[in-house]
Amino acid sequence: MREVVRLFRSFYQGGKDVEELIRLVHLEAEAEQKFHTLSGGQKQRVALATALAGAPDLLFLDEPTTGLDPRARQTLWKVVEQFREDGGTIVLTTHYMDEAAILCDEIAVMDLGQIIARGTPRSLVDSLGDVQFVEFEVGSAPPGFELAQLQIEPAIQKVEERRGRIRVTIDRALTALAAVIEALEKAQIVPIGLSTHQATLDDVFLHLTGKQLVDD
Amino acid sequence: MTERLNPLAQLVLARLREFWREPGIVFWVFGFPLLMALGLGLAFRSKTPARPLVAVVLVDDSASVAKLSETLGRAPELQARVLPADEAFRALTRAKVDVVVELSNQGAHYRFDPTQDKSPIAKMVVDGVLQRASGRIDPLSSREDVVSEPGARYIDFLMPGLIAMNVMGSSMWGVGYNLVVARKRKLLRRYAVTPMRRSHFLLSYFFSRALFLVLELGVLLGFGKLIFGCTIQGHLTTFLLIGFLGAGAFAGISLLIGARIQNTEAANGWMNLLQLPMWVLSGTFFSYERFPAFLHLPIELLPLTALVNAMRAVFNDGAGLLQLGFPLAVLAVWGGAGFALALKWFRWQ
Repeated sequence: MREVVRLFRSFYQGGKDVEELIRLVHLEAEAEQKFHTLSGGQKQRVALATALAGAPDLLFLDEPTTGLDPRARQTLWKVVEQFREDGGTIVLTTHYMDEAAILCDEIAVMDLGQIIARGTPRSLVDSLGDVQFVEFEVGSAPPGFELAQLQIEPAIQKVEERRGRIRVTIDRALTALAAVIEALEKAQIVPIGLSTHQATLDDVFLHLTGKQLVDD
Repeated sequence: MTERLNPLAQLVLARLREFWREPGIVFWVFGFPLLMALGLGLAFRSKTPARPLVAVVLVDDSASVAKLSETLGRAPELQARVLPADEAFRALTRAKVDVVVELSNQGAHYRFDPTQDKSPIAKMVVDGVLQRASGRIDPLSSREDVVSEPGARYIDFLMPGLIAMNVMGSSMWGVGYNLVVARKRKLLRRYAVTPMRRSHFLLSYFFSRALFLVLELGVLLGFGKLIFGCTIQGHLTTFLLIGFLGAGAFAGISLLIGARIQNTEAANGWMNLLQLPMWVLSGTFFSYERFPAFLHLPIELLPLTALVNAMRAVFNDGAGLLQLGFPLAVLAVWGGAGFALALKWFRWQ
């Protein structure tokens, strides 16, 4: 695999040393291995090393971690972050919202070939409004209970059920959370696996593309 | 301390590694032609023709008949056996003997099957021996020389043909097919987005082919000499030069195939489509002059025919470059046209 890096390095006038390139992509231990014996993530990093061989200022990465296991993704992210810290610019396309959230300073959401939203990860999440989510499964409920009964509190914006799991959209105030719990008690519902989380880019994407579908 | 890497050297190295690390390719380039030469050389090796087998039937029990029979038994050019009549005829019908001769006081009576190649010859040999023993004097004096020295055997005819065929095969697969594989694996596209000089890329094929060509020729020539005692009558350098020109011509043709094709199956088909007719037509295994006369010129315009003819002329007849204007021109035109069109049509992805 070192031979591949050497070959591609030889095409460029300036740039980093072969050994440094291999170090940059964390493949020192695999340098002597044949390319076809490497794992998918390692192959992807060899490709990255050949891309870095010419010391570029701008790097295009098209779904660099698709099909990789979590550890391989993390290692690849490290390489990308290092390049960014060294002053490089990256244009990265991905289907993974967490990847975009972690690596990117600015995100453009594309749907059907159109950019439908742009901004920093923070601003995109904020665009959903003042929301957080409470999720749980119903352990036991009194007979005749209807989900809609929860929606009496003003802090509760939406109640949905997805594959047995209830998802309640509320605003971010602590009092809203208290209101949900109070409503559950009142209705004599025992929640299982109760969790709360902030909106993520996934929610943004689903929200944006969902709306798009409705608009069609 | 950044070391300077030479892109051309790195590309050539990559080519060579591709080759050596693929044992299959090594077999097809080196092993296969050797096996073929060995097999065909052994199958068609020159052997001394077997002596005619003669069954002798003594019809009369006389001194003259016994004397003739004795003469046949001593004659070095045939193998005679005295048999009872019925046994002799049975041996003839089963092709165990080539001819039956019945000796009587009236003379000789031959029985043979003219559809058997050897029978009429056997009859003539026996008749000659008997006639001379009975006092015939041949009016014309004649001498015989048996030809079996190196340079005139089938293997000497075959060897340059096999070498030419091998040059064609390894140039075709080594350049065009290799390009298609590289394109399919998106390797060409990766090269194309780097500042790699296109001329370096092309030259890397040129150099690696040239290197392997010298090896191929060396192995095959060495093998021919070692096993069959085949030697080049002409100059080795002339032979090498022709080899280079031939390899270049086929590289040009295969570059044309490799210029656009995206998938290996289609490339496979094209390679075989081009090579197969030439294996048959170009006189590798037998002279193309056996085909009807109107086909000779078209066949001579094929690149493999040109290469086989040029190589054979140097190998067997000791010809020099100057005598080989026509085949060398044919090769140059094929190679030149192939390269020119390939460079025009080449696609990196």
